[in-house]
Amino acid sequence: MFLPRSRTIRGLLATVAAAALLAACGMPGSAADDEVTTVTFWSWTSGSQELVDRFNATHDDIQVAFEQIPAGTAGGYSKMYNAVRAGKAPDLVNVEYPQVPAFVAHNVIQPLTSRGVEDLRGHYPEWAWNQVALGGEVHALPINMAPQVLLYRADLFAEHGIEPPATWVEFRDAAERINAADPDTVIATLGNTDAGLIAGLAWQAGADWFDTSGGAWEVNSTDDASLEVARYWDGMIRDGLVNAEPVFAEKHIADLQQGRSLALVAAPWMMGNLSRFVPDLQGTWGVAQMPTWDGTPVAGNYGGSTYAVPEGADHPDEALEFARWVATSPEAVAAAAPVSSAMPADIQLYDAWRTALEEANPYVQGMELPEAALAASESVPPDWEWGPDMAQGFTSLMDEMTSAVGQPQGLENALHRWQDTTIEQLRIRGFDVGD
Amino acid sequence: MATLTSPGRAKRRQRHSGVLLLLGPFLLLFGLTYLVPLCYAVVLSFFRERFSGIGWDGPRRVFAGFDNYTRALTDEEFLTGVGRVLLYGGVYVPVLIALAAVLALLLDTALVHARRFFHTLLFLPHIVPGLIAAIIWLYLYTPGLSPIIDGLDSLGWHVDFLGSAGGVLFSLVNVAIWGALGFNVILIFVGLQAVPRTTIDAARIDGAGELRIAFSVKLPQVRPTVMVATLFTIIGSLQLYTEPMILRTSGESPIDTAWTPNMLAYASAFNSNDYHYAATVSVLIAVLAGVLSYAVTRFASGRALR
Repeated sequence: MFLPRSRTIRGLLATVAAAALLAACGMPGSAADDEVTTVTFWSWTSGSQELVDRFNATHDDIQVAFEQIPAGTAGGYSKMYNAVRAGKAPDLVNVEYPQVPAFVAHNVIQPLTSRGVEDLRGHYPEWAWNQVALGGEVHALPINMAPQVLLYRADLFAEHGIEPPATWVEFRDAAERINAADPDTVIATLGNTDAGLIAGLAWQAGADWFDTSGGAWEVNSTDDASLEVARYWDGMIRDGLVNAEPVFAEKHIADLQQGRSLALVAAPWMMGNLSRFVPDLQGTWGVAQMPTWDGTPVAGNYGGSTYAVPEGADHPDEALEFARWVATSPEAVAAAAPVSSAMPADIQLYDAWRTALEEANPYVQGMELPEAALAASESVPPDWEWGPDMAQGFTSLMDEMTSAVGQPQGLENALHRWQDTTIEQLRIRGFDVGD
Repeated sequence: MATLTSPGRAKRRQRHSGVLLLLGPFLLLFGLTYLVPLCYAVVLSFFRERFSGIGWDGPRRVFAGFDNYTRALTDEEFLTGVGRVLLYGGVYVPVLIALAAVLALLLDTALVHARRFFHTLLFLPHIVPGLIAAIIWLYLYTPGLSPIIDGLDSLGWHVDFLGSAGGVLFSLVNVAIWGALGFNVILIFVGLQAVPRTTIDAARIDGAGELRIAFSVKLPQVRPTVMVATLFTIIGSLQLYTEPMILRTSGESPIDTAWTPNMLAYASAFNSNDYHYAATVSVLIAVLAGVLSYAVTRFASGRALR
């Protein structure tokens, strides 16, 4: 056997061996105070990395390990679902509002009320809190929200002598004038496969596609409000006043670039898309409240995320501490602002957001986007609920829309068929569905 | 010959263990990656998750018997999906095999000099992964982007590759043929190479023309190869997934999430988290593929016996 000759080396080896032995035995108490808890966090939204970096730089006892995952409906949600089933859940995940009920129903995320989140209720608009408080429990923390606003080309609207329309009737008048002046130009492009957009428009009109207040699921996408929306857009499409095609696809980007599509039903986060796809149009955009049906200002919600703690998370409390920091601290807002124009859901962060956004994002400077978004967020109807399987719900609505939009009564028929399929699907899965 | 003349038991046992040693890795992988998942899928298909009330209490896993199967066999989406892939296969398989056979025969006879060149040319698309091929074709099919549509438009022909349900099916057949033709040509061509030249010479001496030789002498002798090609193609067309999935992204086609049975299985598993129904659909597709393969081989051997 080889033995080191030198006494120093032998001594060193002994020390190392002793240290290793002690470490192996655990030495209770000695390191517990400065132990660092690592929280794993799964998200795909822009700004996640920046938030984590800022948090880690300012916190010693908790460090967040961020893992970029595919966007929710592109595989991210099934990854979460499978991880929970396999017992390998991360500590915190990003969940969009429509998916919260499905995650609750499938027991993918855990209730948070017992961990003390009720005190945050006052930070949020009522509708946003309603989206995460289901069955008497709070299941997620709202992070950002997406009240609808109308984005329009201020320069070209001025050229046409048109003010941003206050009602949908005026919107149609404006569309006709624009189209008459230049047949190649439309007032807006409507995403023909964007189920979330149509849902948001129905929300704005006062629909409630899902309702659990009676103790069972009521599904109603064919009420007067929804059908009014559907008929209106069917008419706009039929008369060639809007383009119905995928937004931010090649064709739409070219139309934006060349000033052939002048407005968008949007939400604050969409400025991020615009700055990426049509950077040259910086400074040409204006923002207005959504046109209304009856003159009362009201907006739907069109996007936004929450953070939720999966079942089986190793460090739920630490995860929640990070989530709280993201949801409520001005520091988090400042960290995300350079890369994301999403609006924080916490109203108390409004001033911090406005300052940070104006400073960090030249693309939105001078638009007064925060002011418009704040007003819109206050007008969102609070009763809207999402169904217990919106991943399926959105894809099937998308399917219906793809084949129907552009046909006579296309959207209207799509909503009728979607209601039937949805009710059937829910019944098959065993949910109580009212008639 | 040596093995036949040595009937000793030890020798035979040795041979058995040798066979096991050689087959072992295959059987192990085959079991782990094929049989085990297959059995798991069958088991899954006999259970279901049931929610109750509004559903906040989470699902319970219950034994479902044949409920999932009755659900699938009465599910309009599933049935139209199966109809679609059958129709697709009904167009795709004969056209592909006929084209491949004709091209292989041509390569075998006339174009002796350019054979190398055509081999490569025909085989090239096979190298392109199906996914990439679908993306390239999507570009060629999309109105406003496609130079082909622009070109035909300028000739006064207005075509819509994606618009109608029938049109998109043929567009998919076209993509699949483009990708698979080369491989099948080579497959049949190799079979043709094995046809004894003496038979062909005999036919020629008897006064048969090139056409007659091709269809009466060469083709019958490569029937097994053609059958193998047919079998692979049928199974492949039942599993249609990638190409429609890509064409769907255009938003211009009538392809929906459950357009083929495989897409339905995917959507059930990864949109609705309904793994039980996804497993049921997959098992049914496997059964259908099995039945069709059996029918084709029976048909082939029946024909061969006559």
